[in-house]
Amino acid sequence: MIVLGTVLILVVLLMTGVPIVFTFGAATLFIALAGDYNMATLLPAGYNRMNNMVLVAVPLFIYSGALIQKGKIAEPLISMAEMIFKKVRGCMAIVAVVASATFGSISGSAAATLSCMGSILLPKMYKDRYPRAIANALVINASPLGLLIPPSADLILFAWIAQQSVLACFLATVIPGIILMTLLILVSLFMLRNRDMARDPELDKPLTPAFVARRVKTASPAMTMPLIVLGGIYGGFVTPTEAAGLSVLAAVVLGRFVYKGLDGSAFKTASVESAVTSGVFMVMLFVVMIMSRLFVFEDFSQITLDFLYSISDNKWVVLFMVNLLMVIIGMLMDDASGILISTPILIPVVQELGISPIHFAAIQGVNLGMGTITPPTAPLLYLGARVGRTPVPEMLKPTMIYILFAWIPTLVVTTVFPQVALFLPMFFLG
Amino acid sequence: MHHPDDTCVQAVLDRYATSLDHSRFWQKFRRVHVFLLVLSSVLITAAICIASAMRYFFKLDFFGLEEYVLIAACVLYFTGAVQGSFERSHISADFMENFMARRGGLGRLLFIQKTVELAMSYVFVYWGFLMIQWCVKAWPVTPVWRIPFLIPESIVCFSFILMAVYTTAHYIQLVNILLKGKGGRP
Repeated sequence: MIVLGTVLILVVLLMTGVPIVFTFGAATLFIALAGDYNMATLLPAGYNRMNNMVLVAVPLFIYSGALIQKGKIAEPLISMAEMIFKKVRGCMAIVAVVASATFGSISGSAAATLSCMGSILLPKMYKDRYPRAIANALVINASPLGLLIPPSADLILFAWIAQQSVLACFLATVIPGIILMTLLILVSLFMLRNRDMARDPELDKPLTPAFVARRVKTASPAMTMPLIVLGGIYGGFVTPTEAAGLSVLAAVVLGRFVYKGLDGSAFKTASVESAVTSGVFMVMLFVVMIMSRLFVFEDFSQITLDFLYSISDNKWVVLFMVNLLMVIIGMLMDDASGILISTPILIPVVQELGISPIHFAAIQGVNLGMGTITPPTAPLLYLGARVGRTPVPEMLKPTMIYILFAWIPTLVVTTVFPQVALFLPMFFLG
Repeated sequence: MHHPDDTCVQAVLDRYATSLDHSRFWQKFRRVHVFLLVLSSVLITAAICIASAMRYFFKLDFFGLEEYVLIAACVLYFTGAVQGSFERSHISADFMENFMARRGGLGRLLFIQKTVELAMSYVFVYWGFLMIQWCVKAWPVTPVWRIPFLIPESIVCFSFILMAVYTTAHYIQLVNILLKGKGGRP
C-alpha cells in the first residue's frame, strides 16, 4: 500500500511538473506519515550522509565546466580537432562527438554541455552547409556522453548513493562511452556521405608546419586540463575532489590569462550559475538520502523485484524491464535527477539478479542518456531545438536513427556483456 | 477563479518569471546570495588546492581542514538551492507545461503545481526546525575541531525558510495573475 502510494505520488507530481526536489519531498513525507517514522532522527542522518568530501567534487566539476564555457577554453581544442580530422568528409561530426564527451565529462550536466557545445559548434556546422537537422540531432545525441566519460559528476553521485568506488565507476563506463562515441561518429558519417559540406578555408590549403604549430600552440594550454584531472586521478597523485579543485584553478588561470575570455563579470556569472546547478542537485540529494533510507525500511527493492518476477522470472526479461524503467525515468527528468531516483531503488534489485553495481553504473549511464533524447518527452531534444533553432519534427528522423543504430546497440552490448563494463575496473583495480 | 486564455497566461508568465529580478527589494536578497555563492566557491577551491599542493610538495597535512570546507560546501549547496527557488530554476519535468500551453489548461496546471510546491516548501521548513531541535538535544560535534553540527544544520534550516519565502512570493504573483486574467500585472 505504501509502495503503491509512493509510486503514485512520484508519477503524478512529476507529470504535473512539480519541481523534482518537492516531488521527492512529498514522497518522503508520505512514507514517513504512512509508516509512522520519526523524521527528527532521519533528517540529521540524511544530512550526515551528504556531508562528505567526496561529494564536494560534484560542485567543483560543475564549476570547472562553467568556467571552461565562459573562459572560451573549448574553442582552440575544437579548432585543433578539426585540423586533425580535416581529411574525413564530415569531420565536424567527429569534432562534435569528441568535444561533447570531453566537455560533458567535466561539466557534470548534459544540458550544460548541449548549451555550450551547441552554441559553439552549430553555427559553424550550419555555415559549413551541414544539414541542419543532422547537425543539431548529432549535438543533442552527443551531449549525454558526459554520463559515460570520466571524470563525471553524475558517476560520483551514483558511486556515492550505491556506496561503490568512484574510480571503479569511472572506469566501468569508459568502454561503453567509447563504443557510443564510435557509433555516433559512424552513423553521422554514413548520413553525411553524399552531402557536400564546406570546410574552414584555411584547412583546404595544404597544411604547413607553421600553421599546425600555431594551432597546436593555441590549444596546448587547454589540453593540460584533462591531463591534470585524469593524470592526477589515475596517477594516484590526487583524489577526485582535489582533481576537481585543480581543474577549477586551471580553468580560472587559462580563461583569465591565456584565452582572456574570463573577466570579472564572466567569473561571477560562472560562479553563480554553477552554484545554483550544484545547489539544486545537492538539495535533491539531501531529500533522496532520507527517502532511500525509508525505501530500505519499507523494503522497496524486494517489492519491486517481486513485481518484476511476477511478470517473468527470466533474468534477461527482468533486466529488460529495468532498462525500460530507466529509459522512462530518463525521458522524464535530467541525468542527475534520474540517477538520484533510480539508484537507491534499483541497486538492490540488480544485485539480486546477480549484476555487479559497477556493471550497473554503465548500464544506467547508457539508459538515462538515451532517455533524455528519446521522444516524445526528451528534455534534451527540446532544449537542443531551442539552442540550434531547428524544429523538433525535423530532427525526429536523425534522432531515431541515432537511437536505433548507436544508443540501442551500445545498451545491448553493455547489458549483455558485463566484461565491457568490468574489464577496466578489474584490470586497474583488481 | 477566472481562467484567462492560455496564450495570455504564457505571455504573463514570461514577465512573472523575472518579476522578482525587477524589484529593488528582492534584488537585495539576490546580492546576498551572489556574494555567498562566489565566496564559498572560491574558499572551497582555494582550500582544496592549497591543501593538495602542501601535501604533494611539502608533505604537510592540514588535519581537519575538511571540517571547514564542508561548512563552506553547506553554504554553497543550500544558498545555491535558495537562489534556485529565487529564480525558479529547480529542475522539473516541463513537458506537461508545453503540452498544456498548446492544448489549453496551462493556468490550472500551474496553479496545482505551485500549490504543491508551496505546501512542500513549508514542510521543508518544519523539517529544518526538527533538525535544529534534534541538534540542540544531541549536540553532535565534528571529530577534530569540535565544530557543533548546529552551525551547518542552521544553515540548512535558514535556507529552507528563504526557499519558502520566495516560493510564497512567486505563488502570490501567480494567483494574482490568474485572478486578474488578461489585465494581470506581475
